[in-house]
This record gives sequence, C-alpha cells and structure tokens, in this order.
Amino acid sequence: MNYETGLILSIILLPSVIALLLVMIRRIIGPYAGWIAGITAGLNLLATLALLPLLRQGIEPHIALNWLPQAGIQFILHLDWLTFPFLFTEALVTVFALIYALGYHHPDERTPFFYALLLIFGVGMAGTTLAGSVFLFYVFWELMLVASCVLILAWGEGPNNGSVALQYFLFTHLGSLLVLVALINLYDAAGSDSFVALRSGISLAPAAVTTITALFLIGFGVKMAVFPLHIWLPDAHSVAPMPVTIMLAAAMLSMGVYGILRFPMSIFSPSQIAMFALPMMVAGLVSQVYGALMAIAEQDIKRIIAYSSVSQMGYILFGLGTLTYEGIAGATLHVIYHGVVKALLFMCMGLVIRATNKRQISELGGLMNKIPLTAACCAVGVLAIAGVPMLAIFNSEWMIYSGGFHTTYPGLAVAMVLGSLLTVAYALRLFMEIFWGDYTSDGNLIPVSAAMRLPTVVLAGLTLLAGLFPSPVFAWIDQELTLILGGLW
Amino acid sequence: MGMSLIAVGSYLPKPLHSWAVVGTAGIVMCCLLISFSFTGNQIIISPEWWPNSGVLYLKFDFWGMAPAFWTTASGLIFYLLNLKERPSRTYVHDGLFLFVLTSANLAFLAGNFLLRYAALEFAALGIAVIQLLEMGKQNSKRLYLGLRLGDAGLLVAIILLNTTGAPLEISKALSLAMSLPEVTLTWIAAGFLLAVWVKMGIWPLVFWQNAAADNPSLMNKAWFLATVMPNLGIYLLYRTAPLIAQFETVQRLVSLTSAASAVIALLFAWGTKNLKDSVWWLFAYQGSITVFAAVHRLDALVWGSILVACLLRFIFFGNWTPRFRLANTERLASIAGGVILGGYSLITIWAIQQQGERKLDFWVAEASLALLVLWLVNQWEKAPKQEKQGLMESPIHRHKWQRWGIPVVALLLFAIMPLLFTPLHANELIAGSSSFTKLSLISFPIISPAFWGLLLSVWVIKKLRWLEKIAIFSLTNRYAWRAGAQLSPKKIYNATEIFLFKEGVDQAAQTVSKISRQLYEILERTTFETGSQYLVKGALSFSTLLYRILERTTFEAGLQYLVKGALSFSTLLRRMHTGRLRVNLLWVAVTMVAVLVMMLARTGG
Repeated sequence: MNYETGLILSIILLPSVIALLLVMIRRIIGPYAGWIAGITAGLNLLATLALLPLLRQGIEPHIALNWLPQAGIQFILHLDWLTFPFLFTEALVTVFALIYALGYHHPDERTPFFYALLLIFGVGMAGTTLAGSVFLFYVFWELMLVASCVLILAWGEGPNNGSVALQYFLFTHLGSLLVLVALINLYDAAGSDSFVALRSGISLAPAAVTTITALFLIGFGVKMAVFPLHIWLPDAHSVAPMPVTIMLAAAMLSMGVYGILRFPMSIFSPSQIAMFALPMMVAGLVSQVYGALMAIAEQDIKRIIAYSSVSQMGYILFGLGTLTYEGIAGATLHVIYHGVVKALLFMCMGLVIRATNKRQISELGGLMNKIPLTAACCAVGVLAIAGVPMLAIFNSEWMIYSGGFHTTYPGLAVAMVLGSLLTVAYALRLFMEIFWGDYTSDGNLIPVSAAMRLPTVVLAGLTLLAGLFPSPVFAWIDQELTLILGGLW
Repeated sequence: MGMSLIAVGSYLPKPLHSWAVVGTAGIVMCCLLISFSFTGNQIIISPEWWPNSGVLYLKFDFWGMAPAFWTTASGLIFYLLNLKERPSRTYVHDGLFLFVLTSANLAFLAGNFLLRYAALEFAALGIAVIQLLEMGKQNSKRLYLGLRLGDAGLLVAIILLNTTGAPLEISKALSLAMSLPEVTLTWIAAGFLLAVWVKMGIWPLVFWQNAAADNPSLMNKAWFLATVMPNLGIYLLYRTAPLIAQFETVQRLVSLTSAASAVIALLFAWGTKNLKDSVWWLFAYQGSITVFAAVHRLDALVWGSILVACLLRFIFFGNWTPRFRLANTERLASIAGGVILGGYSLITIWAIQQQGERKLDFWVAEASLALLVLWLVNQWEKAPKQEKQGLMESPIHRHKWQRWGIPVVALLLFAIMPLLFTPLHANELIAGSSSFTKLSLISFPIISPAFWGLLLSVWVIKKLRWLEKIAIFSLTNRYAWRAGAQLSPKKIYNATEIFLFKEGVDQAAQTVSKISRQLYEILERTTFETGSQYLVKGALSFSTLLYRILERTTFEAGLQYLVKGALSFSTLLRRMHTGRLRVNLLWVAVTMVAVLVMMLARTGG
C-alpha cells in the first residue's frame, strides 16, 4: 500500500465506513449526520484532485487482489485518464448535493440513513469508475441502482414514490442485465475479468462483437436515458428528493457514457463498431429533439429539467457516434459540463420550489425581484444550456458538431445544430415563465436556507469559469482520448 | 462600464448614467478614430481559448473599423435623441447599450471566427434582454430565437470551414476556402447566407424585427434593432461574399432570390398602411439589394451599404423625434430616405449591368427599382400640400441650430471624419468610384427596359378604364375632341403633365398599392404570421400529444401492464405451488424429469 493506492482506496472505503458509522451509531452522531457526510464527500473530492498530479506524472494507481482465483475474478481498482473526468464529476456533484441537502432535507429520525445512502450512492458511482475488473464494475453498478432506488422509495416526494421506485428499479435493472450478459461474454472470451486483459485483445467472431456491442449500447443507453430508453427518468427525477435528483441527473447518467467508453469503444476497434456509428448519431439526434419537445410541453419545472437531460444525453450519444476525436472529446466534455450545469439548474428549481411551494410553471412568475440571486444563477444555467459562448456547454457542443462534420453524414450535424434551437426555446421558456412577468401569488415567499444558496452560487461561478478557461479540462480529455484512440483506434 | 452600470446603477444618480454612457461612447469613438492610424496592427485577447482554436485577437482593419465607428456614432446620436423619452429603469438600459456596443465592435474587429461568433451571440443576447425589458416575453423570445437561427447558420459555416482544415483565423480561412470543392463550399456559403439573411432582416427572415415595430422606444427601434444587427450582417456579407459568388449555380440562385425578395419587400412596403411599419420593409429591400451587389462582387458597394444604412436609419428614425425633426412629417423624411435608397439601388443595378449580359435576376432587380420609384411617388402624392410647401419649416424648433445641429453632426460623423482617414485607401475608393462618373449611369434609368416596362404595364392596366370612358363619348363629342386635340404645346403639356404623369402615375400607384396590400394581407398576415402561429401552436400541440401518447399512455401504461402482468403471473404461480406438500413435490419431480430428458437428449443426440 502506498500513497496513490491509499488515495483510491480511501475514495471507496472512507464513505463506506462513514455510512456504516452513521447507521450504527446514529443516536450519537445523528444530529451531525449531514455535516459528517458533507465533510466526507469533501475529503473524497480532495483525494480525487490529489490524484491529478500523479496522473500527470504518468502514475496510474492500481490495486489488484485475488477475489475468486478459481474463476479468474479479481478485486481491481485502477485509475487512468479515462476514469478521472468521470470520477471528478461524480465527486464534485456529490459534495454540492450533500451541502445542498443540509438545507433541503428536514431532519428526522431517518436522517442518518438518508445521508448514509447518499454516501453509498456516491461510492457506487466512484466504484463504477475506479473498478478495474468486470465483476467489480457490475457490483458497483448495481450498488448505484440499489442505493438510489431506496432513496427514492423512502424519501420520494408525492404519493407515487413506491411505484416510481419500482419502475425505476425494473427498467434500469433490465438495462443492467443486458450489460451483464455482454460482460459475461467478454469475460468468457478473455478468460479473465480484468480490463487490462480485455484491452490487450480478445478474439471474437464478428457476429459476437456486434451482439455484445449492441447489448452494451442498449444497456448503457438505459442508464443514459436516451430516447426511447428514458421512460424511467422523468418520474424518478421528479419524485426523488432534490439532492438525489441532482446526483441522478448530474452524475449517474454519465455512468452510462463511461460504460460505452470503457467497454465497446476501448475494447473493440473502430472498424468493428463502425456499423453502430450512424444508428448512434441518429438516436442522439432523435433524443435531442424529443427531449427538447417534451421539455417544451411539460408543466412541472422538475420534469422540464429532467427531459432536458434526455435532450442533452442526445448530444453526448451523437458525439460518441461520430467515432471521431472531436466528437468523442466533445461528448466527454459535455458529460462534465452537463453535470455542473444540470446540478445548477436543479438547485435553482429546488430553491424556487422551496420558496414558493409550487412546481407548475403556470403558477409561477414574476420571481425576478423576489429571489434575484436565484434568478441570476438560473440565468447562468439557462444560458449555458442554450449554448451561449463563454459558458461551459458551448465548448463541448462545438466539439460535438465538429465531430459530426468530420463524418460522412454532415447533414446530421446540420440537423443537430438546428435542433439546438429547441434547446434555446425550452431554456427561454423555463427562465421567462418563472422569473419574468407580474408576481401574482398570494403571501410572501418562504425563506431559503443558505446551505441551499451557497452551492448554487458556487456552481454558477464554476459554469462561468469552465467556459472562460476550458484548457485544463481539455487537457484531461486529450489524455483520455489518447488512451482510447491510441490503442486499437 | 456596461456591466458596472447594471450592477451598481441603482445606487447612482440618474444624470450620472447619461454622462457615463455618453462619455464611454465618446471615448470609444475617439479611440476608433485614433486607431485608423494604426491600421494593420493587432491586439491579442487570448493566445488560445481551447486547443486548436487559434489566437483570439482584434485586427485594426479600416474596413472593419469604419463600420464600428459608424455604428457607435449612430448609437450615440440615437441615445442623445432618446434622452427625454427614456424608460424608468435607465441604468439597466444604459448598461445594455454599452454591452451591445462592445459586442458589436468586437464582432467588427475580431480576427478570429470564434471571437466573432461569441461577440455576435452576446450582441443578440443584449438586444433580446432589451426587448424583454421593453416589450415582454413573447417578443423577446421571438427575437432571440430568430437571431439564433441566423447564428446556427453561421456556426455551421464556421465549423464546416474549420473541419476542412482551414484555421479559425478569418482571413486565412476565407482565402483557403476558395479552393474547396463545390459541394462543401455551397454548404459553407449557405450557412453564411442564412446568418446574413437573418441579421439584415431580409424577407422572409424579417420576423424578428416585426415585433419591434410596436416598440415605442426610439433607441430600441432605431439602434438596437435597425442598426446593430443589420450592420453586423452587412459586414459579415462583405467578408464572405467571395465564397458565395465562387460558383455560378450558387451565384445565380442567390442573385435571383435576393432580387425576388427585394420585389416582395417593396410590395409589402406598399401594403402596410402605417408608414412607420413600411420603413422596415424598406430596410429589408436595402438588405436584398446589398446581397444582390455582394453576389455580383461589388464589394465597395456592399461595404458602402453600411454607411447608407446608418444614414437611412438616421433620416427615418431621427425624424420621428419631435424635438429634432428635419421635416414636418415622417412621410417627407421617408421620401428623402427613399431617394437615397433609390440612388444606392440605381448605382448597384447599373454597376451589375456593366458586368455583362442581363439575365432574369437583373430584370427582377430593375423591377424592384421601378416599384421603389412608384412608392416614392405614392408617398409624395399622399403628402398634403401644406407639408410640401413648409418642407423645412418646423414650429417646434426654437433656434435654427437645434434644427441643423444634429444633421451637421451626423454629416461630420458619417461622412467627413472617416474620409479624413481614407488617404491610405483613397486609391481603392477612387478606383471603385471612378466608373460612377460615366454618363451611362445617368442614362441607365432612361433606357432600362424592365424599369419602364413595369411602369408602363401598370399604367396600361389603368388606361383600359380610360378606354371605357372614351367609348361612352358620343360621336359628336368624339368629333369635338378630335377637333380640339390640335397638336399645340399647351395641349401636349396638358396631355403629358395631367394625363400621363399626374393622373396616370397616380392611378398606377394606387393600383399597385391595392395589389400589394392584398398580397401583404394574404402572404404576411394570413400565410406567414398565421402560418407561423399555427406552426408554433402545432408544435406545442404535437409535443403535448406526443407526450400524452408516448409518455403517459404508451410507456407508462405499458410498463404498468407489464408490472401487473408479472405480479399476476407470480400470484398464479404462488397459488399453484402453495401449501400442499404433495403438489409441490409433484412439481419438483416433473421439473427434474424434464431437465433429465433434455440433458439426455442433448448428450445422446
């Protein structure tokens, strides 16, 4: 055990231990559960950032233990440049979600369980990205699902949280089963479940490659919530408590992207998966347009942002489908930027809902002068998602479109650019209907906790920073793509 | 300064806002004037925004600085004219004015496509926020979406250009683009054209400006909507015209489309009852003629169109302010502006005629010029006699300097000051303008077939009614008429002056007016506006219906049935396997036998 392996182990173990302690000695530390969870997540983020200099030096922390040696199954944790952007996004979003939860969640006797499950949810996502073996990947993949499902079931808002949690579990588990079948086939072909063995080249018939890739794309597509595999998302996002929604939308959806990059795109060569390029691009375009149309039609402000996630995942899928450097770089960048902006938007909606006790957009209006700080932060988020330059998402969209124009289907890229006008339409609608016009509600607004406002403001600032100074993040992505594209590509 | 005004303006006294704005705009103008001496230099803003994005820099280029100067000067003039009519939240408006001004000047001076795109986006955003403050949500959304449509075209063109290997540095990219294959260059040109078409408010992409027609604020209409974006569009057209005109097919198509849109814009100008609405169609006409000039590579005229645009806006909108009217009525000012516009169109069409054979697009452009003349005549006929006589008298002006001050300043700013800095470019301007002194320019409208063809055809339509009148004359009257129709100077004068010019042209003008009004009602109001309303309603209804069908009915209901089915099946199985040991053992035995049989069949087979 050395410094770097200690860091990656701490990212998994520390939140797990703290979660266990929160449950076991909740009577003692229960009142401070939120603070403890927040500090733990903060330490996790620091540990993640501490790994960056090591990666820059060319050190890739690695832990490998024999788990079931008879079956060739190992316990491997590994950090590389493909892992880092997703790990960082997850750690960042978890910290802000937990700080937000301090103001959002009303303390009761179940509070320690709430924060423990949030930490476990974070462990699931971190473990998914750090896992270096197929078996361990799937364990953490399911851990994400179980933790988030329990959170929706126990703390979901509204009368239908039970059925929504069941629907969420069934649908995403179905996707997970497809992924499992594909993983088992890979394991069977490689004779080992380590990613290194898989990347070193496995021999599979073309039909098997096609089947496995299709299984991965559909399975991970469920997690990404692209059309038509998105049906679990609107209800889950709208019923879940806001901190869970933030983690679902901003971090968990990106796990699907990670899966596509880690498995079919890292293991197979471009020629092997070239037949999926056009379907992925078309699916991305359809998802972009469909999600935006639904966001325009929707009345619940949480569901509007939820459908926005479907649309934004369409951009990412399109970028991945181009199978070009620019497209994949743009897709990965979009994961990070989308995580930040989506968390910001959900936080703003949470502030609006908490202040007004309303969720229907038709009942809102004229809040600009009442909650100016929220309005300003929401304006930043809305403009970012509309693709205004100097605000994060513009950079990744540029790269995605550029990737599209590098393919033999430039018309699809043109359609994506024109489809982005629908994004502008629902973004404008969201902001103007909530914050503009006359304030017609009766009574005063409910004061909102500083713990909810602080992460919102910080995320708005991060959005601006990420847009103005994108070079550091670009450098990460460049390293990641060298990992993917420098091998078989 | 703009952002500071928005942030802290509410804490500052009101007069300070105006001084801050005027001072800032004045300093910008002075800096631009001084910068004329440093033509060719660059200011680097950022070495590289992201990898391979190129250096973001400002280029001191005369052809970019002059439009920036004129745009700033226009803004300052309209700001001063609008001082007494400003809305209540002045500091926000003032801040936004400076914000849009900065963005526009950045766009004029940017040497990198990425920087130019970002600047254009910020300008559009600032204008949209102004609309939101003054006109409400709907107008603001319509405007911003319209401008984003143009920017989508620009983005496609830039990225496609970059994809072909050209850098994002504008000059290098455009010169490398000339060697691209036709298909690729057509896509790029189409993207740039879409941006130009929207920004200049050319029919039919003029919808984003239509909402502004109701705006009471002079500054909003005159500068934000009518000057900034169109000037930016003209400058973009000036820089990208070589790409558009590279291939003959594209050139012919764009030429014909721009000429046709010029005709349609003028017909709509006729059709609108309110003069203040019709000027927007005159701007659309100017835009069409500018594109027509660009596609025929009249670069000097395209660039000069920015000056014409600023002058026109000043004449049209400046006269709507009660305090500083040049003439008693907007109508006479509009005629003056129309004459300038007609002169510009005449020179453009004549210059194109010099290039070679006339084709269909050329005839259509000539017809548009004829329509403009008819419109001017129509406006003159509508103006009451007293207005024409008291053309330059205004009872509002207390002192003569108030009447003449603004025009003189405008003349100084628009014409003289930049000319002082043109010695470096005098050769280019002289070479471009030398052919204008040729006599053929003067004789062009006299011999132009399409020009007279349109006038005469309209006149002939009206003349048919006069034939009816003649037919009812009695034979006696006819003899008397023939006896009286002796060819004498007086009779010839009466015939031409009254019969042809006065009554004939007047009737022709009224006929065209009626036709175009009906066309306007059908196309714009009924078809486009209603159509776009139905399109928006249809898209919303479709989204809602799709949502209900797919999300609620199909997916949710389908999933519910699936879950119910699974639960029912499991309940059934539970009933079948419940309680009784013998029944359960029987099921186990049957299952084991079935598995054994399958295994034996597989191995034995």
